[in-house]
Amino acid sequence: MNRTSISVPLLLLVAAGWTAPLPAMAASAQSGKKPKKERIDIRQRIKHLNNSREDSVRVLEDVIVHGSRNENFNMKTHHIGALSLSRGTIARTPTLFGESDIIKTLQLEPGVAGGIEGFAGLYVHGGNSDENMYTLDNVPLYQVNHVLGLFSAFNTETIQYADFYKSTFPAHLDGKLSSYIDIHTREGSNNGFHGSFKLGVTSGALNIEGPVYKDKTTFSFAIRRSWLDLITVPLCKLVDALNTQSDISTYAGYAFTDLNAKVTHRFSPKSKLSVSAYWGDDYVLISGEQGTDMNSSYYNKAAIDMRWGNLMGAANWEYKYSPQLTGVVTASASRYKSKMLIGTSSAPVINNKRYDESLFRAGTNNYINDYRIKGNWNWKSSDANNMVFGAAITLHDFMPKTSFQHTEYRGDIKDVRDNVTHLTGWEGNAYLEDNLELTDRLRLNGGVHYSFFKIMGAGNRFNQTLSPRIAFTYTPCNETAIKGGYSRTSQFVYQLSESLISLPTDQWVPIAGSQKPLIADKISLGGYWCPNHLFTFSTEAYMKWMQNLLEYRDEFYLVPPSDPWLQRTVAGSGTAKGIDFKLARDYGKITGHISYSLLWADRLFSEKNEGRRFPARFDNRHKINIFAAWRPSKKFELSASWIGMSGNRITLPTQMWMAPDPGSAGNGSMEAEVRTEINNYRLPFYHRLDIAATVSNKRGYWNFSIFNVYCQSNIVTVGKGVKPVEYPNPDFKPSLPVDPYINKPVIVKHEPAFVRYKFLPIIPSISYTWLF
Amino acid sequence: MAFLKQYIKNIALGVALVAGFMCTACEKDFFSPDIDSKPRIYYICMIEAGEQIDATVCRTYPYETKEVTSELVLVTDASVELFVNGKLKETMKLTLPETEEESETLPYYHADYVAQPGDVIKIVATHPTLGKVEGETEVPDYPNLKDVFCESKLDTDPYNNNYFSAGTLSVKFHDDRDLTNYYLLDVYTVSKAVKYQGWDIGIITFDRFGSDPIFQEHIAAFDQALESKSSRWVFSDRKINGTDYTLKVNFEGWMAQLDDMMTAPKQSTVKCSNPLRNTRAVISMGSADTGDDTCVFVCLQNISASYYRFIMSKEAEESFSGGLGEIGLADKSFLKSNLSTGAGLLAARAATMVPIPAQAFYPETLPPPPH
Repeated sequence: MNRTSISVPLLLLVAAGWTAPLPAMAASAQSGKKPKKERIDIRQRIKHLNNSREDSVRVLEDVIVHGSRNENFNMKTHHIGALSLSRGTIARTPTLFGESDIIKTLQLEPGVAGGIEGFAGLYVHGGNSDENMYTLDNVPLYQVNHVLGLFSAFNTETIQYADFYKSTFPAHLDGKLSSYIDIHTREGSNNGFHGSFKLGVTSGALNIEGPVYKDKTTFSFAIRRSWLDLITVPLCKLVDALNTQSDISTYAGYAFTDLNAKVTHRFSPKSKLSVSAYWGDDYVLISGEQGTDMNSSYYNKAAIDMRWGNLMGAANWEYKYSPQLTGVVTASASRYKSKMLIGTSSAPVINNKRYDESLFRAGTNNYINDYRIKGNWNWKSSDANNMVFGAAITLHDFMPKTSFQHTEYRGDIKDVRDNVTHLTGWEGNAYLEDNLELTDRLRLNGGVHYSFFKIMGAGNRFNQTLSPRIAFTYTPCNETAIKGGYSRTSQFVYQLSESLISLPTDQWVPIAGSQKPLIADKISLGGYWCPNHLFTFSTEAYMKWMQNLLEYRDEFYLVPPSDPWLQRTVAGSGTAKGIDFKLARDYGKITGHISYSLLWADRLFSEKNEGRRFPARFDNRHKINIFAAWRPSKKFELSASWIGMSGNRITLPTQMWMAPDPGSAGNGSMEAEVRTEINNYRLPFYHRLDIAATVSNKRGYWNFSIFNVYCQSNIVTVGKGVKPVEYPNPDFKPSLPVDPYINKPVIVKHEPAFVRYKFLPIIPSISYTWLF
Repeated sequence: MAFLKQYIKNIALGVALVAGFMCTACEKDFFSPDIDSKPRIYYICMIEAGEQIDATVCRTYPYETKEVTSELVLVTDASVELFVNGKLKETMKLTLPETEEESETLPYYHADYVAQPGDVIKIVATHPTLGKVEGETEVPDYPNLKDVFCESKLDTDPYNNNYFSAGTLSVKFHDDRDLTNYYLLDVYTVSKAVKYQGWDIGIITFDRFGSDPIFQEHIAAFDQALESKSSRWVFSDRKINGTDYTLKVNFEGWMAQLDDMMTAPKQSTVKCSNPLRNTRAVISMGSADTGDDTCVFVCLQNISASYYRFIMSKEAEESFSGGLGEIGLADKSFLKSNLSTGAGLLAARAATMVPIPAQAFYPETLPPPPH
């Protein structure tokens, strides 16, 4: 059971357009009176409040709504596969290192694959990881990963709620093909200063909120920082000190930081302004230094420095023009950047002084700046009709991957820089969406989203897309809903990545030249059955066709780095189809869900896999998720999740050939792999159980979690290796004493063998959150 | 420096892995994947302009093969046909080592036809059980190498009491406008010590990083930083089509240690000529005793597109992302084969080579050698 504590007057909640579960249990308290418990239908109450004069409404000091924002969300929303997550839902999902993470919560949903074990990947209905739109307070973000993808950039404590769409999409959403994760951060409290301080295995977090000007202005501020570097740096020093054989001193530090801040000012019950900011940063710094002691005659240093992250600022002005018309205007600026720098330095040392130092530096960087203005309006023309419309204009500023090299020796300085063009592009969007209640049983959601995208400069085409959306919900009875829909989505900015983990060398690039927008057409059909308000059973089937997908072509290395990246890419198509089943219980002491997904996903590129169709990397055919949370009392909660799925696919060559060494004239002397079908091998079935427990006390709560409880050694990847095999030694002489070097009974031969790598064993973690 | 670059390349790879699987145990075991995998036939044939054609026919083998022997890999019962410019020229004959001296030589299929620049060569090998493999390539023309000259400067390294020579090796050639040309510049360094004016001259080292901008065409500055290659450069004529172009390669040559520090920088420029043709001759000369004063061979090859792609794929395989691909964290990189079975290589090249005497790398007048 979810428990949402609302510390602002109900009237303001209603004015802010908050939609509550229907029905819900509410407990209210007025000063000096006994708390009152009542089951209410908030929709009816809203109507009542709308008809009332504001000054006749008594302001309640505190309202606690028992129930889930998710309750009946699936039954009431038009959209198949839609989900709304509260902070509490995210926080109770057991995760690696106890770091609650919205993306890892979403990984438990049917039809969603998590990619490589432990990482915060999101592959929705056979899509790619760059096809998910993450918006934070209405601002799109690009790379949302920390620690090369182990954690997402969203600090759970800052999240008020998040909406997730994966099958049909309302018309106001566009820009990515597969899913939309619309995250809204929490506003500060009007009722005094509150906060929390959390210390976990990998990070610490401080959250603080409160009023700035009573009933008018509030703030919230949150910072989270990992503290792995507090371990690794002294550990390196210790290892160096213990290793007396070497004079190399090593530094290895990694840290990520998230900072969220939000100030909200209510000019009037009709007008509210929120200014929010987000800064996320990751850095890795590793260096080795040799020859720093007094006796050294030569000095050497090598270092690698990686840094990436997002910076975002947004102002959202919400205005209620009339009881029927509300609007939000958002102005934002965001920046994603990544860079990697390596450097070496060497010099002879005489009398503890370096001479003729030789310096070498090389680096690469990539960034994307967005400046955006968006308006979104909601017009409820009648109880049966609700329209959403809006428009946005975005100025994109791209710097695709560029690299440089600098050498310096005895005054001779050489600089080499790739000739990469800086790009500016405009993107515009306009949409109209209508929610129409045709009858008590039939509701429609239809709309259209128009977008244009143009990279400035000659040779770049003007791209336009028109994305129609239609979804219907038919409720033959109160317990049953049948839904269906069609959505077209388009995408203009995509990620080019040479690896499956999040690296600073990943590039976010726009479509340019003659490239066409990425397009996905999807039809979905679903059925929902909610026999009582405890259980919901749902099934969702879909078919998705993707066009103009862009990836590195097979021989992308032949394209000179100074050429536009688009010449390294090839356009292709893909299909995905499947069906998701889910049984969920949202109320009671025990809540949770069981789900099963069946998926087929493939790709077809003219210049990949010799033009033959191949399965997608995360074509996880079967996937089962079980999640359960038990809350016997307010002080204790236990949750567990089990995931089981068909393994990921990888490319595994099994045949070898002897290739000539480049430059030589001879025959084959170098072992090489024979090209094989892409993703030809499926890893074994993956499964794992995670549990978490939360124990609350007066000052805060402890969180204990265990990742991979039964220590299942899941196979994450397969590679080539050598296996030591013992054979009887034919030269062994039993009459002589056994000697490990000369007269040994067995000899060990290293034979080629395939190796299965298993990475994450059982990992317990603990954190404490102090509330104040 | 090369050691350090390899060191940080390893660190970069380590970061990706360690950060990914930090604080956890990494466990592994051995297994045999259940994949239907059949051997394929292929051949390796490097055609030299002006030479007869030889091809080694082989079969692929499972990775788990305990011992890869010539008997396992080599195919000697195939039918191999040579087509030139679309016409069957001859059936290539299996050639087995006959004398004891040739015992090291592997069996190969031989054609008497002498490859000429401009020929389009196709070789088809057929085997009763392994099936058929074919490939095609065009024999390039000899590169028009015009000049090779060195500018060198003698300098001192007082901290190590060394003399060293530093300078630039320039290779001037003309690119044919009508063709898309791919080049391989290879600099063979004789491994033996060379005596010059009484000095024992050490190995000449070439600076891959600070070399000609045309090489930037093919490898990004950052990727190049992670390279640890020797003195071999591959490039195309994309930016120099139809022009005279002078490649510049920086070098350093070390000399034996001095007893006393001396500071007498001197400069000289030496022009080399008499280019030799024929790649096999170049390579055999590079490994032969060619006299006291020759220490480097500069070999400019015009290579076929298939060979260019093969070498570039090798470099991609050795890159950082290629390393991630090896452990399943990136798309897999493969060596590029231009044969129908996905293994093997049919490539062609025409080479021009210039031997460079030691005096080109060192000024004409050196200080008296140490006693």
